[in-house]
Amino acid sequence: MPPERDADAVLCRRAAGGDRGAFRLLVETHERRLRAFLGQLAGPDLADELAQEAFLKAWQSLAAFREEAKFSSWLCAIGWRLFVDHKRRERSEGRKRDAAAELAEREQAPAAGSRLDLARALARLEPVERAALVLCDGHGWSHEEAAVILRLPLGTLKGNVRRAKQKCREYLR
Amino acid sequence: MDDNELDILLSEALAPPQSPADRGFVLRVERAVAEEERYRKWRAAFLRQLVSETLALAAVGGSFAFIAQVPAVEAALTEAPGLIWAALVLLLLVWALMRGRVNVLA
Repeated sequence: MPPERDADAVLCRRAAGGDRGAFRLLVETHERRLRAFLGQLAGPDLADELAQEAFLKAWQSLAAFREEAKFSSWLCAIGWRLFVDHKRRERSEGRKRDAAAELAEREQAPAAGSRLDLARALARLEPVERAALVLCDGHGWSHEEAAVILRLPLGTLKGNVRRAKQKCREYLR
Repeated sequence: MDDNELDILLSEALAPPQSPADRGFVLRVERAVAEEERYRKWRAAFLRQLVSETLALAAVGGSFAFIAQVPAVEAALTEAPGLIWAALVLLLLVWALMRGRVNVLA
């Protein structure tokens, strides 16, 4: 087991026993990645809300966490499910606008041309395509790990990454 | 843009930040966890109390029903039905006193 994962496993065990200090260390270690992932899906404000909820759910379910999984991928999977639930609620409320698409439209910060174009290209992707692309090409998860996080069959995940890249390439052409 | 250029652009733009933890966010999560723990403890205590008081009430009710079947008591209750209310008020008083005492001890 890699040292980082080993450390997480020890912290998880301690946190599952009610050690809030151990859980704080887990939050400190993983919050940037989770918020960055959710930020690409939902925009920064909602991402923080979802990330906080994800950590709270993780705290409540630590006893059910199986150590053969990585804590980071387990946490990411919780965040993804919360995002999907949020989108479902939003759809049922009739609000169909994609927060990330809005974000790209509102983008005011002066960014390099290709980065800004990429943000717009990403905003045009389906959320699941965007999530697959962010996990595999941005955060360095393997296709297998990303498929577990997004609860997709491996072939579907690979198809989503391929389609996402194709759409980005077409947009950036 | 070729595949290689796109891969480089994606990995640079989508990589998570390497900056240190956001203390404000960590604090918010800590507060939420503390709040959740408080609520969990309150809920557990509430459920324990609800179960114990329901059991106590059932036991007292059963005892009353049993005593009321004793011929002498049954006759007394038939002659003076007000006794039932007096007994219930007395029981309520004892329960309130006991509860107050338990709360004080807690």
